[in-house]
Amino acid sequence: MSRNLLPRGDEPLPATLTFVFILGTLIVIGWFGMFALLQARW
Amino acid sequence: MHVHKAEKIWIAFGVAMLAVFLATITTAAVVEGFVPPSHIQSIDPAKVAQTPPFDKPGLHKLADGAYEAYYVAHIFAFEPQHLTVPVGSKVTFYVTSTDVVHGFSIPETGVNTMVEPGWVSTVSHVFSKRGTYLLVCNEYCGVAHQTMAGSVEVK
Amino acid sequence: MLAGRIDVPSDFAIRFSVAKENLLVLAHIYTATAALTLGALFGLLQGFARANWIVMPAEFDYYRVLTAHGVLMALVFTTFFITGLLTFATYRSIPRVRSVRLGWIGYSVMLFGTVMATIAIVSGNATVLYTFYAPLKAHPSFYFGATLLIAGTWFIAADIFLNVAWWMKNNAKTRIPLPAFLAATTFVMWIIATLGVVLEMLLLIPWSLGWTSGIDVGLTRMLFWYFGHPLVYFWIMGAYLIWYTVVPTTYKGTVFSDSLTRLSFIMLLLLSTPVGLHHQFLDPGISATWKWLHALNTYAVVIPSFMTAFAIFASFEIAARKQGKRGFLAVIRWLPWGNPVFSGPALGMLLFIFGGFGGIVNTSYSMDVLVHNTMWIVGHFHVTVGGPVALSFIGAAYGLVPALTGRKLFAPKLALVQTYVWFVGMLLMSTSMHIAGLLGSPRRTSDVTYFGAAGAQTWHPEMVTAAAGGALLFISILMFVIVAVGTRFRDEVADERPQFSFAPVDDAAAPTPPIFDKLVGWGVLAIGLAVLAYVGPIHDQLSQPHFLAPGMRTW
Repeated sequence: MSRNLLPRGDEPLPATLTFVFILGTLIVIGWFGMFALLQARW
Repeated sequence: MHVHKAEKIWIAFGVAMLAVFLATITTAAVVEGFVPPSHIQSIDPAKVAQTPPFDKPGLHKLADGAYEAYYVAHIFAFEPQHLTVPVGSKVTFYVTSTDVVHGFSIPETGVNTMVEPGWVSTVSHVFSKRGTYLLVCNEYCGVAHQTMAGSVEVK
Repeated sequence: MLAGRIDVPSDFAIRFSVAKENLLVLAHIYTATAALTLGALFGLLQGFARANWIVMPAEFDYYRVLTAHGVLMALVFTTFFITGLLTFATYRSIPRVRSVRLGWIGYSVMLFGTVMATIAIVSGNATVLYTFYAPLKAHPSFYFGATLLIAGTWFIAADIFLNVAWWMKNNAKTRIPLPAFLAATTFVMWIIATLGVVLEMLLLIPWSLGWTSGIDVGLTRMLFWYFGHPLVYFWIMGAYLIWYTVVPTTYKGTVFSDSLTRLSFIMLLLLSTPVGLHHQFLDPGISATWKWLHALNTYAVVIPSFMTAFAIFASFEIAARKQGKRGFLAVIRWLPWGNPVFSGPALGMLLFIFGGFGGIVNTSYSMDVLVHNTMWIVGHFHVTVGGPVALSFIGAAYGLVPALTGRKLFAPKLALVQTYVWFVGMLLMSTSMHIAGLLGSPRRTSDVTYFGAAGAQTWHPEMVTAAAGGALLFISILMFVIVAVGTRFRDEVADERPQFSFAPVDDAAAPTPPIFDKLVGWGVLAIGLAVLAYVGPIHDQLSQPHFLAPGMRTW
């Protein structure tokens, strides 16, 4: 049974956003670190 | 289908991030030649010893500071095992195998390629730092895979 | 505490069917556990050998052990656990009186093939590693055995598809129950993926029998990796099924979004196969353009994992808020870290941070020259298949085995500690492997000393750390076996049968678009994408002048 409540978008998810953006930031930093290594070794 | 606004933000960021990565490596490929070794040239693995340039493995000077190095990989050694090049030279390696799949890798440089019977691999490197570099086979080739190594001395 | 509630119908026929189903699922889980245990023993020996603490004898050398370890872990443990899990997920979410004959046929074929291939390996006639690259040539029984293992899984897939088809016929206009849908989607992907390796076997088997004299090295490698990448998504989809539908039951949570869960699996179905060339970035004979295309496709398949990361944490956050917990740290502290059915998968999620990052690096085209065939790759696949995949399977097993056997979990505190010991061990081992790889250490070697060469000096300390991590992992596996076996052989059947359930979908979720359930259509599209990604490379392989290679036994 599913009730059509307010669209889910109205429920804030700050902790989830914190989590995924920590992930994203780590990935970006790590990736460019590897790219710098590639430049150094190529 | 409903997508939470926060998820839209995250996925947009994720897609943008991956697009930046793709753009970076593509630009590096086009502008700086950062392309993984993708040489397409076949060779009969049974006739390597008679097929130039692999009939004379070793270093060949093209001009000052530019060399070609022809390597034959087989269980469990590289021929030539040792190479000496002047510092600052660009060396283009050509490698093939007479038996099974091997790897050709100089640790801590960008020299890394698969070596397959039936195909010629090629990879170039400018040796700008003096030292003795290890050359290792990094693909399992048999019982003595861990002994298959050589060296490149940069003077 | 473990799991939630399942409404077992009072109808005797269904209860009897459930009892038969439980036996079948248990067979898969116990076979997987046996493979994991033997594989772990071999892994321990490898770690000690590479740290130069022991030397493997010539009669049972390192590479034979490595082949056994790779096959048992990456092809046997994983496959049997997933076939058991997906069978369970389908059976339980589609309760009916059913025949388990097809399931048992599938299991038997899988087991027979596994035993055949394992004997070939352990007897030293198939020291070709789990990738069995030509022209290394194993005894025919190795290839036959592996083919039978794959063929057996097709029977399991057929069983799941028949059950889903039964549901759709008797419940038109209702979406397929989520666990069964995820199981079926995973198997559609698996069928498409295994076509590649079966095609490869059709070339390898006559060659191993001596009916053909040469083998196309490039073509067989390409067919293997057509299969080899979706293989890891087969594993990950099993783990994701647990994350989406089982883990929330440990904190009275819900599935964040039924539609997005289905969508993520559909995307994995579509995008897992058109990416295999990223395992062949450094191969000669394949154009840089095709390699770039597969790099692009691999970036695309990261998206459903990004979706999953969001959905899993959103499920945490929504459940936490219902109990008054707000904020990132509060949510994390509130989660049931004391329940092994949670801690297994959750610690696996933490390890997947490293695994996912590493995967993005590995697929970044030219960046692969830094890591290909180094210990970085070994670290990568250990922190993934030995991280989110294995830990999620183990955590789920702590809920499954009690429910299937009717006995309470044996030594639940040991089960909990087991997950943390695994986490620490894997973190130590895979981190040191990643570092060794960046330092250039090659993989698949019995040791790393290279006769004392200066260029190899920095590798040995990492191997010592890896061996220590591996020892912790082995201890952890012994703990798991003690709990699993102890649970099965407890004298008392529990008064109240331990329950296992799947999480409900959140009340407020919008209805799922019916198009997501059109699995045949999505399967056809997936085949199309795989064909598009491979028609160019395969055409090039076949049309370029190339030479066949004779088989070799280099061990």
